[in-house]
Amino acid sequence: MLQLYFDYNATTPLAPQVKEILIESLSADYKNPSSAHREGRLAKRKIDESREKIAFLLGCQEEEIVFTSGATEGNNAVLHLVGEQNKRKTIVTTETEHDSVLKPLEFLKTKGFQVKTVYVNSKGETDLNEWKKLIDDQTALVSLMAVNNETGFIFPVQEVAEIAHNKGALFHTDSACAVGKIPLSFSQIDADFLTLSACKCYGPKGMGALIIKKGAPFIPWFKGGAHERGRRAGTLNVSGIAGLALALDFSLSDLKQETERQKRLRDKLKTGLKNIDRNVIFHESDHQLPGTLHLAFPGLLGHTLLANLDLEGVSASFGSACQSGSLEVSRVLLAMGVDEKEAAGSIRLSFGRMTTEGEIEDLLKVFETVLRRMQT
Amino acid sequence: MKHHKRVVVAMSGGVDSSVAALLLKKEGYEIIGISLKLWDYNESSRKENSKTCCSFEDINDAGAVCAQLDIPFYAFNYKKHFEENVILPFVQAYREGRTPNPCVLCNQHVKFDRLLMEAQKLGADYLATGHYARIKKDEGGIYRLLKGIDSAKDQSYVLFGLDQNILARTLLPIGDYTKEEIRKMARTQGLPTADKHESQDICFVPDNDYARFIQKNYPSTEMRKGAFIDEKGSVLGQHEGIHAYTVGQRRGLSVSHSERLYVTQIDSERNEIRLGPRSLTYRQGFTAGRVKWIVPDAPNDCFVKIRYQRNEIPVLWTAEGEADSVIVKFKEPHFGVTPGQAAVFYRNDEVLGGGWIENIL
Repeated sequence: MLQLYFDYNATTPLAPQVKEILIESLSADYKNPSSAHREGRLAKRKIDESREKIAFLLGCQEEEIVFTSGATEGNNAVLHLVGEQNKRKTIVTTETEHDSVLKPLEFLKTKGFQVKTVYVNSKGETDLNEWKKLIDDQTALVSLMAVNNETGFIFPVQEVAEIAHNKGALFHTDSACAVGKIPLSFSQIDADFLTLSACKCYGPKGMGALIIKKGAPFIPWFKGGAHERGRRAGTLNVSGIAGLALALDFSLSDLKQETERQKRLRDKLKTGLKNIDRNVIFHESDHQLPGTLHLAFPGLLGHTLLANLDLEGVSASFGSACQSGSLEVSRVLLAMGVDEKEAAGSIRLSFGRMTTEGEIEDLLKVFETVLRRMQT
Repeated sequence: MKHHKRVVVAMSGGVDSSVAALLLKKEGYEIIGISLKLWDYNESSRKENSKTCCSFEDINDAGAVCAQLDIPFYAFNYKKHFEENVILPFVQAYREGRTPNPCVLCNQHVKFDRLLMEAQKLGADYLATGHYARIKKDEGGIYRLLKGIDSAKDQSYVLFGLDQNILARTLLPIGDYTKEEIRKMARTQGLPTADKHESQDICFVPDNDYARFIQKNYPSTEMRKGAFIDEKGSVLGQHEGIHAYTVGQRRGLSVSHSERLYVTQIDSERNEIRLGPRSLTYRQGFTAGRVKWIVPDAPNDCFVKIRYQRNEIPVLWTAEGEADSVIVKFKEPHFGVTPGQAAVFYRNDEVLGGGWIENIL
């Protein structure tokens, strides 16, 4: 049966070289990199090499990297740290952040913190003046995702980081959906904390990193051994770390050309969909990932469309895999002022490096079949 | 590739719908399992052996069964639709002193409406459910809705709203078996739901305390205490609010009287509950509204079931003024007629149609 994967924002396929290094490193049976013996040192060397590569690719220093199990862990660690200090009690963010930011914030609210949100409009834009208004000398942290996972809209993290720092607040950016997809440099953003997941950029699942600016305050969330300079206890995942380094390398090579290629695929997809149903609605922004297309067909339910696509071998999703378990209408779209009916009819097609023009053509054929079925 | 007829199976997460999917798969149909999320169950109802339907755990169970049977599975959110079409009428009925039947509404407005529409949009030829009832097409091309083989489990009562169009597109694969046989098949196949508890009563009120459910979820429903009165209008005591009572009820009245008293009438306008001896609860019949007939040849002399899990009563019905209203006369006076409940007409094993009890005669 035809299998077309259009859910890259949920997780990407493994890059071939990542798959290779994972198998290779598991075969090599690396020992504990914290051990003092020769076998331990071999493992540590693998990690050191990977860390060096990751630092280079992300524009940070090696000692700023803390390996984690993914962006969810990183986001929780950062918000935990904010909750442990008592000087400033306000956090400024948006309603379109991922659940791994919003849920810890809900918890912080019960600990006496106040959470202020900046409005994100249907184009994915925020007003910098609103950030300036809400961020003040009581703001402990400003948290803004670099790219929204559902819509693929890109946020001006560098500008907001500057506003935060001007008021002495820390700045955190959940970059899970941005790393490997847009040019991004930790030092240029000047964030205090940046979180990422390997599985969103062709790396293994259960692997990620939290980048902590040198000198930024930190209290470990995982307490235990002295791994990662005492910032994250737990035996290091040698294979995962090696995989992350190669995944970043893979996803960032010739990024400009790849972006152009994906834009062309997206245009082809849009034109094709419009030809099938001219009423199709695209949720777009001037600043967005090339490989994300969020759309709605008026009068059709998104969940029925997704089920139909799945029956024809197409993997797509509502927007957030982490949320689809809850079966709710996308809260991100609702927060952006999209009406409930349109939100209920929306789906996300996301693609990437492995997607071919032929697959776009096949996808369009499936849409034709499925929409005909649904509209009779 | 050989074309198989496509069937959407409504999966509640229980053993009956699991085996429905199993049986149809064995028959060679192309099966799609679908669960509906209809209500947010709170923690208290999620305990082990919970008797809910369509809760988070139930949806997981349905998914596990489909995974084992290697059939696609989807869960759709119909919370809002369920609340508007099942729960709010349920609450409203209690406010008005009637005793509602939400299962019938769920089947009419959710399963055999929204889910049937979903099935159609998924290109399915049929919708199948795990109800203990049967559908047979007669020589004249008319679909007959029949009781399930297992009379103790028969659920044909809640399906009276299915018309010819719907029956033509519905499969009820477990109606030909007993519950015991269904469980046995589930065990033989090793289905994870084989020994799951029955869902009972009202799925969104697992503890059956519907008065508390209404107060908790719809606190704007102001339930005022009022008077219990006797046949002559004398006050016998105080009631807790009319929503907590049902016609025919004897227990929990907390009124001391020389003889056993029953609720004979609930007057929502005056907020009064009339009590009387058992003899006064025996009635001649009732009027029913919004009556739908499944078949064109329903005889006036037939049987009626005035509550789920009750025996059929011989009656004679006649059409009344409006097209969909009937007057139903018992052949002998009968106990426990409750406004708000469904009255379903039978001829032997066949459901002829049904409506909603309005006034007691």
